[in-house]
Amino acid sequence: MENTLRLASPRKKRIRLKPARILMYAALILLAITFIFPYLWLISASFKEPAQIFSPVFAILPRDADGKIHFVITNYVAAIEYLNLSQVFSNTMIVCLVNTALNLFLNALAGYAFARIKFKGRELIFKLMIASMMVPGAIMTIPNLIISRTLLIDDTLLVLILPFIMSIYNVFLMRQQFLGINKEIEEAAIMDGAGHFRIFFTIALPLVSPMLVVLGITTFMWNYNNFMWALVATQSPDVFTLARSLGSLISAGQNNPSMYPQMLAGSVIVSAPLIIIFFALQRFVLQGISIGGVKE
Amino acid sequence: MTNKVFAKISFLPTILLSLVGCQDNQGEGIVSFWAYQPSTQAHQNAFRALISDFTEETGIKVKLNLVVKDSFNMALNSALSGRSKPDMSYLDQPLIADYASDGTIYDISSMFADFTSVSQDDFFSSVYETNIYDNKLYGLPLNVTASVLFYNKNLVATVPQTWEEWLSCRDSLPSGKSLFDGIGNGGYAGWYFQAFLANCGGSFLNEGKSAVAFNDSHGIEAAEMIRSLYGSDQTSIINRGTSDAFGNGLVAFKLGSSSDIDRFDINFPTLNYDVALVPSKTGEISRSNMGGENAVVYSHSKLKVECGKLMEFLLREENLDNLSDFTGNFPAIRTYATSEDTRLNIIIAQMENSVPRPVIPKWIRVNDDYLGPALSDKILSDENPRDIQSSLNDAAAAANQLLF
Amino acid sequence: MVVTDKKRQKRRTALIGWLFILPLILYFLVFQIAPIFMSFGISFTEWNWRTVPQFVGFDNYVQLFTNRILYPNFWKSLWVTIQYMLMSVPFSIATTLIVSAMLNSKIKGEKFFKSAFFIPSVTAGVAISAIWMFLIDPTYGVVGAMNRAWGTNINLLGRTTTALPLMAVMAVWSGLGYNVLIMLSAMKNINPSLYEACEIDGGGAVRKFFHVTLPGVAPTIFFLCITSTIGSLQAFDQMYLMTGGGPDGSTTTFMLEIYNMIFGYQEVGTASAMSYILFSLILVITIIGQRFLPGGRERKEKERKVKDGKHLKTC
Repeated sequence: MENTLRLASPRKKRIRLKPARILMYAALILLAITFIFPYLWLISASFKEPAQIFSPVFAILPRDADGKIHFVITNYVAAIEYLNLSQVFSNTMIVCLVNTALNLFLNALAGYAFARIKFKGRELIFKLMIASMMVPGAIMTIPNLIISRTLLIDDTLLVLILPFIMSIYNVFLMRQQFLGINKEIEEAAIMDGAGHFRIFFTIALPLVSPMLVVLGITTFMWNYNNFMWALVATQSPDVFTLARSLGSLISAGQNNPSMYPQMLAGSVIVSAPLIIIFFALQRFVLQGISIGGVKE
Repeated sequence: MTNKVFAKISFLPTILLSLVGCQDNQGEGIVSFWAYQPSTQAHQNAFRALISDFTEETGIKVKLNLVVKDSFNMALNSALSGRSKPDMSYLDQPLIADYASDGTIYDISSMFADFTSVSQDDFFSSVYETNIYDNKLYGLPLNVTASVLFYNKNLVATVPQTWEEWLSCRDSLPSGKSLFDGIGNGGYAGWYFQAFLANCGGSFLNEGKSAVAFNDSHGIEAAEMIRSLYGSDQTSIINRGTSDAFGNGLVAFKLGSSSDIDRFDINFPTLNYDVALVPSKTGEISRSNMGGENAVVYSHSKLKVECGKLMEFLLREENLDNLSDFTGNFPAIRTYATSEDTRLNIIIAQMENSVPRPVIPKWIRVNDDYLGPALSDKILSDENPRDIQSSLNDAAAAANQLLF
Repeated sequence: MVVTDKKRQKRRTALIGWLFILPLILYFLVFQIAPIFMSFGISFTEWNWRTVPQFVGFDNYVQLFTNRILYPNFWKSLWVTIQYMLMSVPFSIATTLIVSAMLNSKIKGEKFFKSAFFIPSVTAGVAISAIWMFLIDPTYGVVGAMNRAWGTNINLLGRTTTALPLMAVMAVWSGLGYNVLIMLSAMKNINPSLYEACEIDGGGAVRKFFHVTLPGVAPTIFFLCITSTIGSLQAFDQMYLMTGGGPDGSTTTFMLEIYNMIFGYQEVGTASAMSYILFSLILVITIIGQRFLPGGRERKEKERKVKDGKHLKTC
């Protein structure tokens, strides 16, 4: 009886849902504003005269003394000088690109081995690696500094690359992907006498390329934003990365509000590239993280 | 098959090795000199020019590493156990004791004796003392500053000289304005505390330098004075919590030093302010704290002679004047420290009676971790002020355990 | 003959397998295993980083736990860190669930929202700290404008009661995009027929959520719980950049205290001991979590046993 009643009045259901849905949209939009507004504010402030940044008037658009809209780039000029932008940018690019390339290749190798090549101790080693993810980075910091010194790579670009050349998480994800490849193609290749390496290179790797793209992007971004290790492992300004350089600008601004204008412009300069890359490759990034989500 | 694997993997090491060669930190015969990074680009360039003048004159090559002051000590300590060790550097006054006690820095007494242009009497004596540990000389002062009283002329009719006069200035303040900007948090609080402690006859260490003494009656008096200056009314609390309250004209008094003069002149040009000696308790002369950088040479360095020459070069009048400009302080050599600016002259006058921090290892920890927080977080807390005697006693107990 | 061929083949395969993971093994040994042991060893020494370490046995540990005079911040920073974790993790999971559920109900502009929420995840932590530091400045930022407009005195970073919660909110804000993506894809993987079955049994939106959605994403919740917890216990960047430990040590997290030990007071041995204490804490919390959180392995076993042999309504 109840069911037929319900089927008979679908329109009532729709009307009942509407206010709830409007509320939901409102909540989401409000939330989205809290995510977008800070960035808009940041950009707007970075183009203001320092006096206007510190003025008590709350204004979104930069205006000069006469009240006309007036964008100023002095903060950017100052920030670029302070950050030593050209060298720091090229440092960051070198570190990110080299690390990402090596990371992708080596992690894929390992992931493939865990997924498709049978060897003794495979499961054990894999479980050990997963367990190691629980160890806090704090434990690694000092010894990694000592090891870097012994390897003679401290205070160079290498110290920002080598300690992150493998990532258990990435290996895990790659293994997940390789497990999902159709076995028949591989078996056919084995019949033809192909060795594991060739299978890896010519068949498996291309098949997981979406994941490679995603991991490439996330690894690149992670390297780009890495601050704490750069803080402790590098001292010479000629090996600073963008994040490190921005960090010293912010520290300078912590007790000295007069540095705020440069700090804001510097933040825009450092964040902009990644945000632009993100919007350009949005599809891949969002898709990939969904792929890598926890499966049951 | 495996050969191909090896072939393909072997290009990795070559890339990596090539990146190692990208950094050449310690060249032969190049003096590595670390200094505080001046805040403006113009000053940074001027610093480099100064160093290349030295190279031109002596033929000694110097690699100048300018590090932001906030991360200087951390970077320095890290570098000293790594490959990029400096030969010579700026060193914050309190660190002399730590670095001297474990032999990191070098006893330059004999080196200094060979200097032709500078001798001990040229320096402000209290500043010179900051370099003496275990009766040996471990560095030379370069730039110094002392804290003085900044006051807003619109809010203060007569400049106070005693603590009583200072407190009575509160009576004539218009509404919305408060008396004092505060002594800051943590380490800063500990540093400014000295300006009060010394001005009522107290000191950080006892006579025999065997225990701390800041929790004695003088210490309590000093803390009570600061508390009175703070005031617990809402206006005072709000003003103290506002950034740049003094610059914005909200408070009448502030403690500051020479770098603050530059800052206020540039950022708050309409502020009608002046400086004066720090008020002291009736019957005491005006004393203050001090800060500054010393130049030290490191024991591991193979270029000590060259470092000595660089040090003597930096101590020349025109160079030291420039260095002081960069940090906003003034030269540690008395005769160079003159100025047309009356305000700077007051700071220089204050310098004559400034008290150094104890030259004892781990003092920084005591200041930043025990004494400073005891003041800023406990005694002077707005939300939950705690008893002065017990807070200071706790800090003293910790300090004694750590130091002695 | 066939047997030995197979054996050789097997050995060859094994060799190639090892070769493939050789870089991983090398990396693991050098940058993970070795440090774990080194750190352990260092925790039994006193070392100021410049000179030679000196062996002191268990002294570091004992002093940290008992000597409140010498190490007044040890217990406090531990408590601050746990508070931070208790504030940020449940808040994060709750908002993630709510937002994901909203996005899962056939909304227009799903992509727009997903992207908007994700922007902080691609912004450097340093930049995020800079942005927020400026926004909540009681004189200059948006909060400053509010203060002037309404005569209030909101000083979020300056009060002990608000500084740490603010950091928690920032953490939730920064991580929402990433968490929502993971949660949303897990929600999309739930079999739609389960929802239909629930409707037939008379369930509305709320019941569907609690009886179908939640159990369906339980493993993801567990995953996010554990990773967020482990992450929050190691919180450092914001506190270092924005408050340097905060008013009266109220934002001095355990990691920040470790950092101060190394770079402020040059007590490397003590810092290593602290990092091992943190490690133990993480282990304990993870084990407890596995047992009690929904979706954890042990809890799942129990639930499975309960369900076996019983016919349950979907709702």
